[in-house]
Order: sequence, then C-alpha cells, then structure tokens
Amino acid sequence: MEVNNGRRNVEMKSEHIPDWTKLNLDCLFDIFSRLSIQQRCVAPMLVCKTWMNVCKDPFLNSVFDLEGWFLSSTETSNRWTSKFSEKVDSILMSVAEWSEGGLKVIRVRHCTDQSLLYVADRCPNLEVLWVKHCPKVTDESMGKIALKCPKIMELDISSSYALTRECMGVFGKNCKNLQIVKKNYVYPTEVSRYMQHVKHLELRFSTMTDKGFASICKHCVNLEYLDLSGSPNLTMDGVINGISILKNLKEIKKPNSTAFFFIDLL
Amino acid sequence: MSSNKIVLTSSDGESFEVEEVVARKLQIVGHMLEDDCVINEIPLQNVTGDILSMVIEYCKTHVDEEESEEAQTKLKTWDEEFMKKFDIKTLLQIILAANYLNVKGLLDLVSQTIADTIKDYTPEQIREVFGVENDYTEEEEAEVRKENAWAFDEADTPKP
Repeated sequence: MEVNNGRRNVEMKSEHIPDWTKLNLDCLFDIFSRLSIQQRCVAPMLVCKTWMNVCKDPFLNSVFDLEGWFLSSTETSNRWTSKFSEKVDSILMSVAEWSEGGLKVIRVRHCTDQSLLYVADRCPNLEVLWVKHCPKVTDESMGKIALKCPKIMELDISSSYALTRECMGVFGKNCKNLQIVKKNYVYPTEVSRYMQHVKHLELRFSTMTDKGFASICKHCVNLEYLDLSGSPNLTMDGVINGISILKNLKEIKKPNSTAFFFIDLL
Repeated sequence: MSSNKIVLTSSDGESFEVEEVVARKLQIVGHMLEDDCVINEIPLQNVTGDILSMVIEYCKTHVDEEESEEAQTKLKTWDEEFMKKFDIKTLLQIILAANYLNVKGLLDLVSQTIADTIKDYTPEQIREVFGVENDYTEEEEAEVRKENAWAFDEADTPKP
C-alpha cells in the first residue's frame, strides 16, 4: 500500500473489502514468519494456492528449525525408522528448494545423506547446521557440505556416530568462520588439529584424558566457552592446568557433576 | 514536544482530535506532516472509525516509551490486556489498519497475536475467519496434504 504523497493532495488508494487471498501480502508474511515450518504446513498451506505460494517464498524459508518440534514430542523408537528419516529428508529438501539458495539455518534430527547432499548443492549461504541424532549421516554428505557451504559458523553433530574425524577435518579446513562446535565422544586430536579457530566447544561424553584436553587448550586459544560434561577420564587438576592458558575463557561446564569434581572451576 | 492538535478523520467520517505527538506514532501521518508543514486535518480513507479509535488508544499509551524495565513491563502487560479485548476478525481489521497507517509496534503486537491464535486452527477455520476461498481441487488438496503429512503426525505415531 503506497501513500500518494502529492505536494498538496494527500490521498490514499482505497480498498473496500480486505481480500486475504491476494492483498495484504505484507501482513500475511509478517504473520506466517511467526509460525514454525510445521505450523505452516499443517494449515496455512492448505488454505488456498496463494497462501501456499506465500509459504514457499524464500523469505519464509531461510530457517529450517525442527528442534522445537522434536523437543515437544515424545521420543520413541519410531523416529529411528527409515520411514521417519524419509519424511524428514523430504521436508528438508523441499525447504532447501523453496529457499532458492537463501537457507541459512538448519536444525534437524534423523535426516540422511540424501537431503544433506541436496542441501550442499543448493545452499551456499548456510551458517548454522545441527544434525544431531542422525545415525545415517556419513562423511560423504557432510564433507560435501563443508566444501560447498564455507560460511558455516555453527556445527552440531552430537550423537551422529557414523561421522569420523575426517568430517571434522574437512570442516576445519574449509569453514574458516566456524566458531561453535558441538560433538560428543570426540577425539581430542580432531579438535586440536582441525578446529583451532573455535570459540565455543561442547564436547560431552568424551573419553579424552588430561593429555588430550591439554592439547585442545594449547591449540584452540580463542576458546570462550567449554562444556566437558560427562567426561569421566578428565581430572580436576588436568582441567585447571589446561584452561590456565585460555585467556578468553568465560564459562566452563565441569567434566562431571558427581562429588569427585565438586569444585567450581571458575 | 509541541501540543499542537491534529484531527484524524476515518473513512466513515468520524473525527478524532489528538496531540501531534500521538498522531506522529502513525508514520503515515508523520510523513505527511514532514511534507506539508501546515495540516490540521488528515483524512485516513482506509480505516473505519471504530478501528481507528483502537489504533489511537494504542498510540496514546505508547506515546512516550520509557526505557526503564518497570515501564516496559507495564506496557507489555497493557499490550496483553489490550489484545484480549478483540476477537480474531477484529484483529485482522486492526493489522490491516496498523499496516496502512504504519504503526510498527502495533503491527508487531497484532501480528504475533494473530499467529498465536491461528497456529491451532484447521485450514477450514482459517478460511472462515479470513474469508478466503479454497481454490484447490480435491486432488490438489490431497496432494498437498500428502506432502505435508510429516507435520500432522505426532512425530512418533507409527503409521498403520
């Protein structure tokens, strides 16, 4: 709706009956942008063709975040079936297509290489990638993402156990903006060797020892945040020694919350 | 601030005399005042009197937005109560008015309220309140439903 700002005559275009099919697209975009992808798929997309096209607009598809949806429903074995993965893959591929290259954030679980390979080819602007609990995701798709999506700043590959240290290597080499990395059961060398720029590390349930941790601290000097929860082989002394050289460290989560590691390291 | 009064007139001829600072919360009015310095009466042809009066009520309350946390909390509570007064159809009228008059804060508030309201609606309920015709054929609608089936599932209910 433009205002006709003539020098003297101030006159607006007039609309008699609001038509929510065609007009008021600004308002529709505004409303839809406050709904999750799942909420948009359940009803607005089915209202009429115009609304479906609005839902598919790149503007509304720069973020694909299913995390809230996963967290709000109960975890059952059904999620670990191929059929469920197919569904997740299918919607991720749709959003990647609708985004027309503008997809910046992906927070997904239970997807497979199929959708990630598709994303790698179409989403060069990707900045945040969470692929937690994706047992079928391999180095093949993640390596391709690392090569084709160099803007990635945040990576969460927790509980995606098919990924090897090679995956971390490719990301470290190609994604120089990478600042936040989350991975459990980590090998210290894959961090100390490849992730030297990171500021935020969450390495839960790691079997690493004091020696391994010391090498991470030595190489990742920019660290500001560390989460080491559930790492039984780390000693308190080892952690304190390690972090003594981290000048920027602001927050740390202790390796274990049991009595053995009771001292607050800060 | 000047205590200059401005008269805003709705499409159905209702007039509201408001302080200039309040009128300027309507950006459309702000722009007019910048372009032509001497205007005392402004016709707003896309908004009816009953809706305009609500927009003005919002603008009066938000006329001096203080930074303090206390003031912000108070405004937020007021906003919530204000929104509770309206049904969805009135909210749709208000969002159109807020968009046309360009009142940023109100636009955000109403848009969020509408989103919160329709998120649990069925497509049929949405069509009803928005007055939108279903232009899908049965086959097309079934196709979209099929594509979006993932979203309907309680993430984990196994399909028969």
